[in-house]
Amino acid sequence: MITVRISPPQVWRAKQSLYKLAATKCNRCGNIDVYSSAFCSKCGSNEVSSINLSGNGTLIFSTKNFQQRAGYEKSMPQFVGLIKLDEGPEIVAPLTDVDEEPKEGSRVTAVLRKLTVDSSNGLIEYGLKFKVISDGP
Amino acid sequence: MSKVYVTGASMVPVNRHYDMSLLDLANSSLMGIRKTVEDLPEIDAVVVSNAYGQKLESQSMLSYKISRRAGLSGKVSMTVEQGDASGGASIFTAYSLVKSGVAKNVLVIGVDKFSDFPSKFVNDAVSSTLDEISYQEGVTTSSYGALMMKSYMRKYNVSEDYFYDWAIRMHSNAVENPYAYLRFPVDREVIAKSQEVSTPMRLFDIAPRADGASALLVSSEDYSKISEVPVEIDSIDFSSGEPSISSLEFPIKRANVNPDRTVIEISDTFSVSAAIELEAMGLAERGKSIKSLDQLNVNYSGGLKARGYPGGATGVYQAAEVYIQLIGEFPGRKAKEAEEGLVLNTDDVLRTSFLFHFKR
Ligand SMILES: [Zn+2]
Repeated sequence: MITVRISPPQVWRAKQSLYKLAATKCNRCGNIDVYSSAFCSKCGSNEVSSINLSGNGTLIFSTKNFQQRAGYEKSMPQFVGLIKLDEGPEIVAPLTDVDEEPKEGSRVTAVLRKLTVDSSNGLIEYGLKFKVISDGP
Repeated sequence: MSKVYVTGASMVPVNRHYDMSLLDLANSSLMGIRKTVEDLPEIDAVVVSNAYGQKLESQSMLSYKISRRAGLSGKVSMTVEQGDASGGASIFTAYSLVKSGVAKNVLVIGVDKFSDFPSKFVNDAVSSTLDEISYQEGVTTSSYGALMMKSYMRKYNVSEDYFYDWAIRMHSNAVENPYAYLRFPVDREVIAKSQEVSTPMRLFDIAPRADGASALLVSSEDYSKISEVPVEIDSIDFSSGEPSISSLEFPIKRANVNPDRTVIEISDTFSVSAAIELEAMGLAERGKSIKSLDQLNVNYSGGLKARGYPGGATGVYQAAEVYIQLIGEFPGRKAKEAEEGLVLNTDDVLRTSFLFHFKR
């Protein structure tokens, strides 16, 4: 098991959520689920509509992580943020292009970055990280 | 309704057991049950609690393999997986089988193994409990813990050193527990200087992973006398849902117990988890739990912090520890007045929890 494997169908399937913030909004209760689902996670309704989130949000706070995961060694130390998206949901996601923990309340936006490389066939997996665009209001 | 009892328990000391496979560890816990339960009844079912064996040890169908090697072929067997809450889910399964009358005696075996691979692979395996996208983005569970800790520090206006008392208490409890992994005391200076894991969390805010196996015998009322002191599983509460890190809301039920008479084991994956759990259960005032540990008989084992964290076996250890306390035979720090027991077994970032209430 100690290799990093990337499955092309897995990456292709996840493209909606890995490359853009695809979400679903519940027509019944209004809840937004980041990463689409056929059902609303809050009320269970299947009357949901697909929406694309803007990718913009506000950093609540972040952590500087030193704990490595196989396949992600190159992005160490890794900054991870708790982000409140402009549409309302709160998510945990990696930050990019930062050298120190950004100011709380910074405005952030989702950008596409390399995530990891398959250790045997060299396939690259891309996905979203968040970049600081301003120190906030 | 029929009553359900714990009638036996055993534990393998939590450690880096380089000389033992998952199956060897499970066998060792079964040997412990055979040695401690004098008249072992016929076993009707075997429930194996394991979280990371498929990913790290490439082992599936563990329950069949363990049962076969123990001479229990032909009995109903299944493996239950719910991350670090696997133990809770397994005991819940055993309880349901006995309560419904489908089985009279069920063996629950918690077993997991972390020491075969360097930590970056173990971090990867443990992080597979996160949602698919977080996992693919390379996030670790410790970063979730760090964000929980920051949120707690903001909300209650405390700093990192507020949490030191948790590690100090857990290590001092573990010194007395022969089944614990880290049996040495620590002080504030050691903690303050320890390695940063994910800011503001340091090494002493997280649970050390190690190998372990623990077995629990769950029986119907007709067999309750197998145990010299019968211990009833009085109730099990379950809760799950998406937490809110920013508002510190987690799916944990309130516990209705008298703390003076109750011995408690909780899932302190991170020191902040301990604080969140004690407060959510209503056992301590919000924002003050870590400063009020003297009022609680909590984690006399040393907890995940110092007894150690054997993955999907953890919940079975917790129940075994509380059972052994209630029959008065715990070889470490004793809760002498305890007549009731409480086990809170959760996953690593508090999305699902099982709350067990035991009575002797
Ligand atoms: Zn809904």
